[in-house]
Amino acid sequence: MSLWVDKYRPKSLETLSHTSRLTNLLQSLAVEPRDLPHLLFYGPNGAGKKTRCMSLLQSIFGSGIYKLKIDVRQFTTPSNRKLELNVVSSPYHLEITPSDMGNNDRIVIQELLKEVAQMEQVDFQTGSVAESGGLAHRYKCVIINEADSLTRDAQAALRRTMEKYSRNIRFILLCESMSSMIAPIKSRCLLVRTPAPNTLETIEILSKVAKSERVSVEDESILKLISESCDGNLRKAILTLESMALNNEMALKTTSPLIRPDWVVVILKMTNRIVKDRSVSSIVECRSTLYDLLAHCIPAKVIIQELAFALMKEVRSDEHRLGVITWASVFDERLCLGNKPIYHLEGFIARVMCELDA
Amino acid sequence: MSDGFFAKRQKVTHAQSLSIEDSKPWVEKYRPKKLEDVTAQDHAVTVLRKTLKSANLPHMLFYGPPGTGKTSTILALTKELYGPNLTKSRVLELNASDERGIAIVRDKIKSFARLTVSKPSASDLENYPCPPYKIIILDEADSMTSDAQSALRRTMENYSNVTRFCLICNYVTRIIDPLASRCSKFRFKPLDSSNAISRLKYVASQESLKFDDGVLEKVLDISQGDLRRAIMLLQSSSKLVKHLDPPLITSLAVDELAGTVPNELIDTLTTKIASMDFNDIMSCVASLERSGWSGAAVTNQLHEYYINNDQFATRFKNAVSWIIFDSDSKLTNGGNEHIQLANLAIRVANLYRKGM
Amino acid sequence: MTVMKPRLKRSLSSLSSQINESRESTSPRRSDVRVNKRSRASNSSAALPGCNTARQAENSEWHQKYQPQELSDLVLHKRKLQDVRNILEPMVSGESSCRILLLTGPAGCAKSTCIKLLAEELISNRVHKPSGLTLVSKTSQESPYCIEYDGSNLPSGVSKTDHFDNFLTEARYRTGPNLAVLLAEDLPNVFHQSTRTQFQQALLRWLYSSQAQLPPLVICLTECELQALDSKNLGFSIDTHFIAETVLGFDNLIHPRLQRIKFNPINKTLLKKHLNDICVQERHAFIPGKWEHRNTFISNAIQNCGDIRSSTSALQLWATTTGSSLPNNGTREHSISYFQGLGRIMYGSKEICDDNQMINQLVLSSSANLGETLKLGLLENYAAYNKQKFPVSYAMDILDALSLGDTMSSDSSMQDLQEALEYPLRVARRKLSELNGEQSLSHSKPNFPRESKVRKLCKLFVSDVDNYSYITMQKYNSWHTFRNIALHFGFFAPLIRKHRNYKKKALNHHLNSLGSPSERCAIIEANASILAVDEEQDVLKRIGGDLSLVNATQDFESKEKEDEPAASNSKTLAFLRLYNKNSVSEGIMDGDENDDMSDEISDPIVHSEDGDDDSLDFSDEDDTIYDILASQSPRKPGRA
Repeated sequence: MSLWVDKYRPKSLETLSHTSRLTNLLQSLAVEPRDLPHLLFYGPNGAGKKTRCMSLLQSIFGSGIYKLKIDVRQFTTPSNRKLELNVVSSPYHLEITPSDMGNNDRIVIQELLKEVAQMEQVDFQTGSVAESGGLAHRYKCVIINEADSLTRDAQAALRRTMEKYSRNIRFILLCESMSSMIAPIKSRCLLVRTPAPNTLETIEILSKVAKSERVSVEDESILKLISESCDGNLRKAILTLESMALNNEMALKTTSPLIRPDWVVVILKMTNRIVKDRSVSSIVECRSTLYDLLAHCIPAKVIIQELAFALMKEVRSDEHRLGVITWASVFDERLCLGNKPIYHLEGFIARVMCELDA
Repeated sequence: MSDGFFAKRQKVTHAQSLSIEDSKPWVEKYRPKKLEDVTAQDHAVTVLRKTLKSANLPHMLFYGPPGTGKTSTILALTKELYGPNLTKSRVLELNASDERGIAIVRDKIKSFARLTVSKPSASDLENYPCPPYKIIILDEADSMTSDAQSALRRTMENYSNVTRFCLICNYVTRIIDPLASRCSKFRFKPLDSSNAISRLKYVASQESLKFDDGVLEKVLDISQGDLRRAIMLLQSSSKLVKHLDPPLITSLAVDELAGTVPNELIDTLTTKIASMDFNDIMSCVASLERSGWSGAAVTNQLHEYYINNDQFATRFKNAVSWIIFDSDSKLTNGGNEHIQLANLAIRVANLYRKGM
Repeated sequence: MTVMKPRLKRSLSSLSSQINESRESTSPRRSDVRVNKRSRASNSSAALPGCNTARQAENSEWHQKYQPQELSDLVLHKRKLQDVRNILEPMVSGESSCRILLLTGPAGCAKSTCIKLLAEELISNRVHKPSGLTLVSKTSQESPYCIEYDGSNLPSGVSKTDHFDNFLTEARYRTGPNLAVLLAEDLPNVFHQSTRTQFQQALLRWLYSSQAQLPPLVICLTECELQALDSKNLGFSIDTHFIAETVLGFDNLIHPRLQRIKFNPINKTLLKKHLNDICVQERHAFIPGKWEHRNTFISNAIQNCGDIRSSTSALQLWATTTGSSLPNNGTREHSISYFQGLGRIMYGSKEICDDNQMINQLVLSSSANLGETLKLGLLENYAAYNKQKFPVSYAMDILDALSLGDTMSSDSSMQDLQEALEYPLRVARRKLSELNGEQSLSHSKPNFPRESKVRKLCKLFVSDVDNYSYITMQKYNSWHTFRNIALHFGFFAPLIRKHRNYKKKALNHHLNSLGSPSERCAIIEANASILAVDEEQDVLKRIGGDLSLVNATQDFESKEKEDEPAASNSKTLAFLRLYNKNSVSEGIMDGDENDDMSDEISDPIVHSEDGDDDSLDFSDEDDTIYDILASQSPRKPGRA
């Protein structure tokens, strides 16, 4: 059996947990699937954007939407480099994460979507709308994960595709940050804010999972601990719950140690070091750690975020906190503008050390 | 074949015809049909009406903020000039969604421009002026590349006997000088709120919408004088509440759709900032983030709050607007929302602390 | 020499053309000298080994004229010469198992001259060839003891890719009385990928050949960094680094039958002596007034470059033309290496005391490619200054400059800004010079940037993730995005599965001890999720390995292994592997789909197998090469 996080993922609109307001909205959209606008889900990681979008599609197309298969598609860039992209699809939808492609995402968007759009058009001509069962084949849904990391170019290309093929394609964009989406895309989509569950909701969901898996929970305080450490990220919370349950023979006590992802622990240790040992040699050692985090493909922006907020907690005086957050914002921007994250991460650490020395 | 099949089929076709009616964007549906219908652009309309009489049209350049009726005006004008039959052969409309590189200017625009005008039918001649030239409308012309623009210049000159151009743009400065100097310019002012409200009311009554008090004002407020955005917003919120009982549009729904943060949340944040407790501020920002509010929207609304608030001194406003500018630019560059928002809040709080 | 860095070559040939030009324009008095010189030159060239007719016309160039004719003339460190001799001698006598001798080093450090002279000496000692008999040498100029591969001289009907292969095939019987040293200095066009593959395989076959006696094969490789067309591509590939690792391939390099000797730029003292000797010989050719300044010139010229050929040319140009300028530091444009550049930024330069000028020159002479490496190297090494004992604020300033510099260079559409390199370098130089470290004289060897190491690890991680995703997809029908795997599943999923695996083992043990089948069924049903874990299939290790540290390296070797083409196809390969596994075990995939998939596997593998088909007639009784090739790349079933 799969992980609990997949096992207990709601599969239909009726079973969605938390934020009933949103569920109502989606249900009203599902009433008239013909009218489905392009959608833009936004909200923090692990809030359930994907789950909601799949549930919506399930209510439109039926459970065939979960018959996933995966293809590797090849693209050729103008400079003749070959790119490979995983495309997950069901008979009714298609899912891509073009941000893996870096600067070449525009080509992927253009090529792939054009292909899909035209393929569907052919379908149209061969079978009349009524015979093919009406709704199901009228359009295909394209889910774009991490749409906020699309380049401007790709977004502009997407905007054109949206208009050109709006008859046969519906887009569902998922993103964490709305700020990097260009205005024309925002104005063409129905914006769906997906808030993360609050601590109470998280605890409720966790205890439900624990109950069905026959995990004995000594006290809710341990669940509270988990949900607080996960900060509304339900995915992380359930994964933590499962690994802790297995670690403790399916019996969670209040004293059971909290399991955090190793990279978070590493960053916390680094934070400690930055505060305690402010020297050049300390920076050098941090660099080795940073490089290993990067080698494990932890995004640099996540590293700086974790680091900054850990520092904000660690640092006592308000003056120092002001310094930390100011420099975090500066180096966070430079991360987006530059192309070698290591300079900026190490630069941030050095800045913070100086700020604390002052 | 079974009855069931036919029943299904009927249902589908029925639903289809409905949907076409339904899904037509209101922006198109309520576009002004005649020049007189264009609201609040008296200057442009008067001039254009004169040309309508003389049937002699210069090249035109419409500029102004979005949603002020530029496209509507030119479309209405062409309708009045040519009537429904002739419009198709006489008018070419290209907007930003079409590729408009230099190749398009060379091929598509040029080949249309050099066509000789077709003969209008007798009935058209009776009802419409049908002047002997074609019109090419280039919507969002400011997004054309400058080499495409300069290629256009030649085309404009060469075929001016049979073709008139109408360029539409938001920023007149982005049109290269040689092009701008060949056109008579019309500036479209932002709509004043009374005009816009009456238009929204008209749409709402036509669609028999039910709404809370102040919703239309809210819609207008959010769209900042952009009538198109306002109408689109109205349409999507009506769609949202269609299946509710009663289908009442609330300002909360409008807020949600537009992605704006409810004022209560902004108020909480600003009080926290004023209290200068960094811990409180951090947790407040974290909860905003957790609820998924967009950082850009929060920044915008904080800007409104601080700048349009008379209780603050100018010096303070200066400093705040600098901080907000900084955060906004970092966000636009792709910065992390949480970090940037926290930075914004803490730095404003620090201004309080410095006693500004 | 065609494979030498294009720019290098250009500078050299432009030098000689300038020399000739200036000669044409000088007074008639000097034309006598020229005639005189030419006759002398041609005299000497007749005895000169390895000097072909094409070169003869240019023989008035000093670097040709003073090419050493005896081993004792060789401008090379005695120890290095002995090293080469120690390896080549047993190769010639057939006592050595070594089949290929690889000489690497910068341009103009006497690699090939050394081999030619050694070959003459060693072979003429062994076989006493009748002087009149020229059975094999095609031109009278060519030495019978040393056969050079000439990539430019392409006979018709031979494809470029096969040319080198043919050369080896023809030359393999040059043993016994015909013994000669095969010298490959000129290589086929290794920038072309399939030519390179062919070339590498030809060498592999040579190494694995079953023939008992093979003539010694010597490859002289002039290593250099190239200006990459794509400045963003900083990986170590042949397009940026023309070095043994990229040209010959890893498999050749680690082979025990290949020996490698690294040549260094020529020692300053030796070079100085050599130049002085030339000066004395050519005194008559000096333009009046130049002779007096020769020492200044020489000391200048030897400072930065150990390239005997180009410094001789520079000397000639300077001595025979009227221009009075001393050569700027370095006679070649590209004399700045990574280490030199780094050293200058960190500790200043002894030659150019003015830091401003030094940096100006550094920036001018560094390619875009080196620039990025230089910045990364600065990041890696700035802390080594004064053994890390300096205030953090200095480190901060340097890092800040590096970070700012990086944001300047990022825009992919724009050409890289010069300032993006210059700014960090200047700041670093200023800050470090303010520090005034006492130990600045004794500094340790700098580290290489870890960037490529990290990139390689990233690639491994990505292929691990792909592996994981396909398993999750096939087995559990769920799909996670890369980002989520990197952040959450990569850590949690293996952890959970590992726990379950333990449980499963315990449970199995328990089940075996149970008697009644009904009880067993009940337990099996209740623990389906635990029993589903399959040690073989599921990923039980943290994706990408446990977190630790990525440490800096001082040696170049460890990270040289080229990204195998197969690695870039990780997606397809991992996918295919799983696909096949599944279709075998479950039998649900139909034939055509499988076919489609195998077509998707792209060329590198197919190529290597084609290559190995070619070798059938060459070494049919020797199976080792198949094993080698097979272990290189996973083979598709049904194709082999």
